[in-house]
Amino acid sequence: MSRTKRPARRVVDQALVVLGSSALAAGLAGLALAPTPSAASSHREAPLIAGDPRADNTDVYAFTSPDRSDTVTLVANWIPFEEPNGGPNFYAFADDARYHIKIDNTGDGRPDLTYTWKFRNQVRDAGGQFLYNTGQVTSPTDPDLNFRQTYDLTVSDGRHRTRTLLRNAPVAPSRTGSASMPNYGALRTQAVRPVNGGAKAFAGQADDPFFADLRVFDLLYGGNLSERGQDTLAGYNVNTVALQIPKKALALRGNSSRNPVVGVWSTTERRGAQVSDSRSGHHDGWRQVSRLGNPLVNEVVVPLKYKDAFNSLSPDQDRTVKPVVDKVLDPVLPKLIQKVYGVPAPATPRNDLAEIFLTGICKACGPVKADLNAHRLNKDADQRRIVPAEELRLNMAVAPTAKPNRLGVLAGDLGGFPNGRRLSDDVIDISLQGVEGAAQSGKLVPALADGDKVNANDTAFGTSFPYLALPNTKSVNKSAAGSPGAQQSSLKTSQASTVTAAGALLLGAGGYRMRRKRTTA
Amino acid sequence: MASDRSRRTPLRRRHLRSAAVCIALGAALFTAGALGFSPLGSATPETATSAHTLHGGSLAALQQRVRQLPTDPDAWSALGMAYVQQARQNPDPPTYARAESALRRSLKVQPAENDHAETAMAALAAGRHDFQRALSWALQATTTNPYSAPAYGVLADAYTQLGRYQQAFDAVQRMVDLRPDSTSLARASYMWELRGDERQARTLMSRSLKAAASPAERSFAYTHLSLLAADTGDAQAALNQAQTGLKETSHDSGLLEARARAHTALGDTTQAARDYSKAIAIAPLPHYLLALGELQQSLGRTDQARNQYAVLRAQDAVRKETGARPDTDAILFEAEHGDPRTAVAMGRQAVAARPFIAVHDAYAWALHRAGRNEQALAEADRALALGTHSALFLFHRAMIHQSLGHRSAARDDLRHALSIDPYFHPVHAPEARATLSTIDGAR
Repeated sequence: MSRTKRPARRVVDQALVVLGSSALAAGLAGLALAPTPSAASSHREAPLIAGDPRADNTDVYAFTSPDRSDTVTLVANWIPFEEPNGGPNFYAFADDARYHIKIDNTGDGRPDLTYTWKFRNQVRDAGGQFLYNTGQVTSPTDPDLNFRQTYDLTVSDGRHRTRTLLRNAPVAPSRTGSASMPNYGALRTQAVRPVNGGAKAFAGQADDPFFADLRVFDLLYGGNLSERGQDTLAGYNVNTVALQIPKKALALRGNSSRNPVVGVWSTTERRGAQVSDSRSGHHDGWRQVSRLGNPLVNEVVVPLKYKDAFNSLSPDQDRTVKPVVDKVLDPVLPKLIQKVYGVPAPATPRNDLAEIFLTGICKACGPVKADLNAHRLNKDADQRRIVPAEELRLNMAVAPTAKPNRLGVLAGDLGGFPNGRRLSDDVIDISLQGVEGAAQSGKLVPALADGDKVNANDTAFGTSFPYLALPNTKSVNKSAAGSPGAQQSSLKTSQASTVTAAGALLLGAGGYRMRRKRTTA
Repeated sequence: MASDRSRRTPLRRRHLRSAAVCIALGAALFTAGALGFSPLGSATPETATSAHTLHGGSLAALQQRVRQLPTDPDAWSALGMAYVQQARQNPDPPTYARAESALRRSLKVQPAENDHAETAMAALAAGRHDFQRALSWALQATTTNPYSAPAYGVLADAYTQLGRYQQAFDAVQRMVDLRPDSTSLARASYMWELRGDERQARTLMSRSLKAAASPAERSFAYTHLSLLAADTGDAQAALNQAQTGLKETSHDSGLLEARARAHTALGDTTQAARDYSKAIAIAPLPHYLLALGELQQSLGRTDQARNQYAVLRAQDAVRKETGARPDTDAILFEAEHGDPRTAVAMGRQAVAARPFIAVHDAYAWALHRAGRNEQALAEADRALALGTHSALFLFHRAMIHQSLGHRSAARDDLRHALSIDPYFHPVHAPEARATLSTIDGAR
C-alpha cells in the first residue's frame, strides 16, 4: 500500500472499490463496513417457515352426485392461490407426497377406507429448457406436453389391505392459455377416467370453487384468521382430485340404506426422516402434515393456536385435545359477534356445535331436533365405539336437491352443508348462522341473514363429474393485500358473494368485492 | 505462509485511523438501525428471493396488512418473520431492527401464547448470534405450541450453536416428525453432516430441495448440495449444483460462494475470484472476503488480497466498537493475518458464549498460532468430536499435532483432510501436501 496523506480515507476507498461502484452510496458503504451480525460461515441458518402449498389442503367436498344419485362425489383441493399463467413450471402435485381422502363409516374416528393418490412426474426433454409444453396440447398424453404427471389411485381398508383402482392415469395439465391449449374442456374430459365398479376419477387443475370473503373474520378477530399477506383475492386456480364412487362402496357393510352416514376428510402426508441413530423406533414413515374435514374449523370453532396440532392428528384423537373440545363447546366467535353486532351469544355449552362438528346431528345426539348425519344413525355401527371426531359427515340416503339452496340445511335443503358439502354451499354464511345457534333454534339470525346476492344460476359449476369449473386463464391483478381489486377475469359476470351484515359492514369500511367468479365448464 | 506481518506496524496505525472512520459510519448506521427504521418502510431493496415470504405474499403485502389490521398479532409476527428471513439472506442491522419492532408489536397485541412471535424472536436472536436468548424464546415457543415445527426448528438451531448436540438432534427429530418439509429436512441433513455422514446428508438435502416451494428454500438446498459435493471432493458435481441453483436465482450470494469454491477446486481461479466478488457485492460477509483474500494471496496477488483484509479489519473494528461477539471468520482472520494473541482472546470469548464445533476449531487455530499447542489440541479435538468430515478442521489439528511432534497423528489427519477434499483451501491445501511430504520423507 503506497503512502498517502489520508490513509484512513484510502482504506475506506479501497474497501469501496472492492465492494463495487454500486456500493458508493454512503448508506451502503457504511453498511458494508458495519458488522454483519449473521451469516457467518460457521452459523448455518436454514430457512425456517416453509410454505408448503402442494401439501396444503384447501377444501374438501362430499355430496350425492346430482346426475348419478347412486354415487357420491368426493372432491379435495390443494395448492391455494394458483396464479393463472404461472409458468414456466405451472402447478404440479408433489410426487414426494401422498394425497388421501379418508372415509369413516363406523364413527370411531378411524378411516375404514383410504383413497390414495400417488403422483409421478415425467419430463420428456429433461435436458432442455423448462418448457411446460412445446406446441399445441390436445390430449393429456400429447407429445407436446413436455411436463406431465400421472397418478396411481389405490384404496386401503381399515386393515391396510390395498387395491389398485387406477395405474398411470393422466393428470389434466395446468391450463397454460388458449394458444397452447385451444380446447381445455376436451383435455379435462379426457382426464376423467373410469374406474372398475362404476366409479370415475379425475385429477388436475380447476377453478378454486371456494367463495368467501374471509375478511369477515378479519373484522371479527382483528384479522388473525384470514389469509396472510396475500396480494389478491380472486381468480385463482387449485389442483384438485375428485372421485365419483357408488354409495355401496363407501357404506358400512356395503349397505347404504342401513348405514347411510359416512365421515369424510382429506389428508396430505410427507415421508419422515431419521435424525438420530437411536433405537427409539423408525421415523421415516409417512407423516400427516395437513388435514381437512369441515370447512372453516379454525375460523369458527378451533382457535388457530391448535391448527398445527389439528393438522397432525387423526380424528379419533381429537377428543384427547381437551382445549379443542372445550372451544367447540365454548367458541369465541359468538362473543365477538355480540361485541361487533350486538347479537346475543347463545348460551353455552354449545352442544349444537359439538353435533355439527364432532358427532353429526341426530335427535339422540344433542339439542338439534333432527336425525341428519350422525354415525349413530348407522344401524350396524357399534354404538360403543362411536367417538366425537371432526369429520365432514354425509348422509347418503338424502336425495340430491333439484334446486340447491346455498344455505343448505339451515334453509331446509338437507342435501347441503353441514350434511356433506356441495360446491355451491355458502359455508361462510352457514357457519356464521350455525355459530349463532341457527341449527338449534331452527331460525336464521336476521342480523346475519341480510342481502346475499348469490344466485345459484350464476355459480356455473358443471352438470356432470367432476363438476368443477375449468381453470381461470387470466392473471390475477396484482394489487396490494386488502385493496382487493378483484379483476374481471375471463368471465361474463361477477357476483357478490356472501354480503352478510359483516359483508355490508365491510362495504362500509371500504372496498368489498367478491372473491370469485365462475366460468362455465 | 505469506502473511503481511512484516509490515504490520505501519499498517496497523493506518488501520486504526481508518477504523475510526468506519466506526463513525457504522455507529451512525447502528443508530439509524435502532431508531430510524419503521417496520413499515422498506429501505432495503427487495431481492427476488426476499420478496417471497411466508405465505406466498410479498413483503409489501404484509406491510399493507399490518396497516390495515394493526391489532392482528399474526400480521405483525408474519411481517417480523419475513424481515428475519430477509436478513438471513442479506444480513444488515436495519432489517433486524425492523424485524424486532414488528415482533414487539405482535407481542404487545398478544403478550401470552403467541408462538409465531416467540418463534420469530428466537430466529431473530439467533440471527444476531445471541444463542442463549434464542434458546429461551425457542423454549417458550415450543411450550406454547408443542406441535409447531418452526418452533422446534429454532430450538434445534439454538441447541446446535450452544454445543448441546443430542438435544439438537432430538429437536430436529421432533421437527421432522411434525412436518417433514423443506426446512426440517434441511436441518436433518445438517445433523448428519455434522456427524460426518455425507451420504445421508446429501439424500436428505436432495429431499429438502424436492419439497421446497420458495426460491429461498431452493437456493439454500442447491447451495448445500454443492458444498456437500465439494466436501466429498466431487468438484464437478459441486459446480453443477451451484450452476443449476444460479439459473433459478442469479443473485444468491451463498450460491455464488459455492460456485466460487467449485471453480477453485477445478482450477478456474479467474471465475472463482469473479464469483466471490459478485457475492461480496451482494452481501459483504466476512467469510466471502476472507475466501477471496486467501484465494488472491495464493495466486500471489497480495495487493488485491490486502484490500479484502482491509475491509475485514474495518468490519472487526466496528464489531469491537459495538460490543458484538467475534465470529469464527474474524478469529481465523486475526490468527492468520493479524495478532494471534488477540485472536486467542477473541476465541476464548467466542467459545464461552457459543461452544459450537466451528468455534472450537477457530479457537484451536488461534491457540496454535500463538504457540499454545497443548491447549490448541484439546480445542481441535472438541471441534472434531462429532466426527465431522471437515478438511479444514482436520488440517488445523494436523498442524497442531505436527507442532507437538505427533508425526503419525499429523499424517493421519493430513491424509484424511486431503482425502475429503484435496482443494479444501487455496493456501492450506498445498501446505497440507507439503507437510505430508515432509513427514513421509522424514521416515
